Amino acid sequence: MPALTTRRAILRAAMLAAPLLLPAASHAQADGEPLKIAMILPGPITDNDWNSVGYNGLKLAGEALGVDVAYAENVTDADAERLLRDFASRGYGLVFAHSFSFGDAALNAAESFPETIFMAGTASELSDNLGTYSNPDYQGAYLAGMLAAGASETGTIGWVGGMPAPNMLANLHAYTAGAGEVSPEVTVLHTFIGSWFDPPKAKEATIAQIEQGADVLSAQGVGVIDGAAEKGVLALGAMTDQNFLGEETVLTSVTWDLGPLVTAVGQAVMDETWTSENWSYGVASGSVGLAPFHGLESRVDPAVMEAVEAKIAAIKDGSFEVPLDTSPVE
Amino acid sequence: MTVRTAPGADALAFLRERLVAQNALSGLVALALAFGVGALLILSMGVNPIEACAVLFQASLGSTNGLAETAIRTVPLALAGIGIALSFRAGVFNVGAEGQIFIGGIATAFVGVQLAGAPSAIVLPAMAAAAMLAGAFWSSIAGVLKLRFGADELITTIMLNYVAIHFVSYLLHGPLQAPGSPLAQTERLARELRLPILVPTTRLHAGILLVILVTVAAQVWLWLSVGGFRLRSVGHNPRAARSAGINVTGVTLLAFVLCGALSGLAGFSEVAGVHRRMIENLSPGFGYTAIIVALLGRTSPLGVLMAATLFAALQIGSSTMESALGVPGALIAMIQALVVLFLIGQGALFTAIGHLLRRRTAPETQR
Repeated sequence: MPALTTRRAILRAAMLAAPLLLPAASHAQADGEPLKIAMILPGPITDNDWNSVGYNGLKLAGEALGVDVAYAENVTDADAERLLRDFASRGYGLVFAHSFSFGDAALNAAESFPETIFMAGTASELSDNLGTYSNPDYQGAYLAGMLAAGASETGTIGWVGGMPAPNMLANLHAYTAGAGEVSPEVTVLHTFIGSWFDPPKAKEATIAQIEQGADVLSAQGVGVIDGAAEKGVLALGAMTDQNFLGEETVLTSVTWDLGPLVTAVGQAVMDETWTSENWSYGVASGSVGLAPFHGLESRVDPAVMEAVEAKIAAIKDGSFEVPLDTSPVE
Repeated sequence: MTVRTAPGADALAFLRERLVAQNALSGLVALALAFGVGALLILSMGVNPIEACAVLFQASLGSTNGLAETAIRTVPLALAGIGIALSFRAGVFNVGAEGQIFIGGIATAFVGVQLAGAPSAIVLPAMAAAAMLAGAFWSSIAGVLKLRFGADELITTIMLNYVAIHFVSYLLHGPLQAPGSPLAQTERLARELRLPILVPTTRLHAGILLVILVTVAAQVWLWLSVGGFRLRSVGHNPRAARSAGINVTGVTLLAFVLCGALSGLAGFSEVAGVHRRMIENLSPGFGYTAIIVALLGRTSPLGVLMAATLFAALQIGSSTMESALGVPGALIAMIQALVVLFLIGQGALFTAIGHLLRRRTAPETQR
């Protein structure tokens, strides 16, 4: 937003009622104006989890495309539509709604701002100017499942996640399938804590699973690694390299780099080739992968390590496709 | 009045006195002081406060969309604020609007989903009535606890907020959750069960008309009717009111009912006008901000509407100020809180300044 002079502000105040009479269309970027990209995020951008991934992707795209970016963090569901509209009316031509629960808000905003492109995370309903992007971390979850089964001594592994949204279900099913490939008799425990962010509850669920015998857990929420560290078992981080949360605990993390996707979407909008569809960048394009092991490789059966390497190569060359299953559990 | 809890009651009574009985100027003075401190804080971040102010009001008042959003935000703040103001006028310190908004919201969604398919001319009023009844019922729980057992409503209403929010959360995760949805929310309301949009391409819904209606009605009732006179009498001096033959218990209960009904109506307008379904986190603290709004509006319905509009504009502009200039939006929350502090404390502030001046002019006189 350009800096405002007070004079202009006063002038605006004087014409308070005038804008009501003007046709309200054409809020979006005028032709020839450079693209600006915005994102609204449900939590703090410093969470080293979902919101950090979103923010880092936005920042990278801004640098790669040389465009202005802006964001609003800690956005509640009740406030999402207002902020999407705010960015659209301020001339942001591409606006990301980085939460599964912002789908409604994005659909409504897209209806009112037909000139603005909206992208909602795993939305179920799309429109002409509303596309979606998925988080194909289930592909990484398959690898995580293989590693968990390969590192487990008790034959029981765990998985703690937020809410049974489709992407979380896909993650859980792929994790189970990956574990099953390495060791068919492995038991996989899972818990949905019913919230996207509730560290004490996540920790509680983690400890409950450990007491049921789980000795490697997939951490799909903040608090799980904490519980695993306290009980001295292994955990698999998610979203960013979370080894710093427990150097002896976090075997590796399934990382997600949103930068290539945001950049490609922004480029498509600039080239006017953008279409409303599901954008998905997974293991094959290097957006989903495994973080460094930070010296904990020795905890995994070497044969399994090799199998994981081979699996990554197979996904990349297209000879293996991670099964996508979003059927409900329990 | 009826029963008065013993310990701490004097302190609470003093607070009430300071908060409710203010003259016309005190609200403006508190506002000016709060903005002054806010400007200093913005300055300390290396941002020009005038520029920040311009960005803020440009965002909330300088465009169709901004104006509409400010009006939308005004609706719940004004409705709950007027309810709170009326109960303050009766000497009832009801701070339970937040919970009453949630109860009103879930009642709206429940009726809307149950009666889907029936003519909207019947269902929409039924939704509003259900919201008001449910809110009034929730508020009356604290009323009965006060009148029957002498439980201080300052405590019970705030506790009931948590009970309401968790109860609604249970309903949204359980019996009232939309089938097949992984999110804690009710089914989407049918299109004809939504409040009509007043300005195309914005979200401005008919709830704002409801606010104007309620403001005028409450203003007339409070100042020109016998009922309003009774309410104010009980607030001024319950003992004198009783001696004059006013049913103090009845009026006190009425104050609870009015606050609950109007807060419930705020929940209705959020669900039927904005979200089109009941969601968790329906209110980002509307019921609490409405307390400040009621105080700043000097517990007069018209004043409350003005204060609600100002606070709505501040809140709407704050996120733009944050993303455009890097001034944290939390600053607006601080300014809101400072308004209350300066409302309570300006007497002490002026006394202290008076002392300083006197000491400087006549240092030898005994204090």
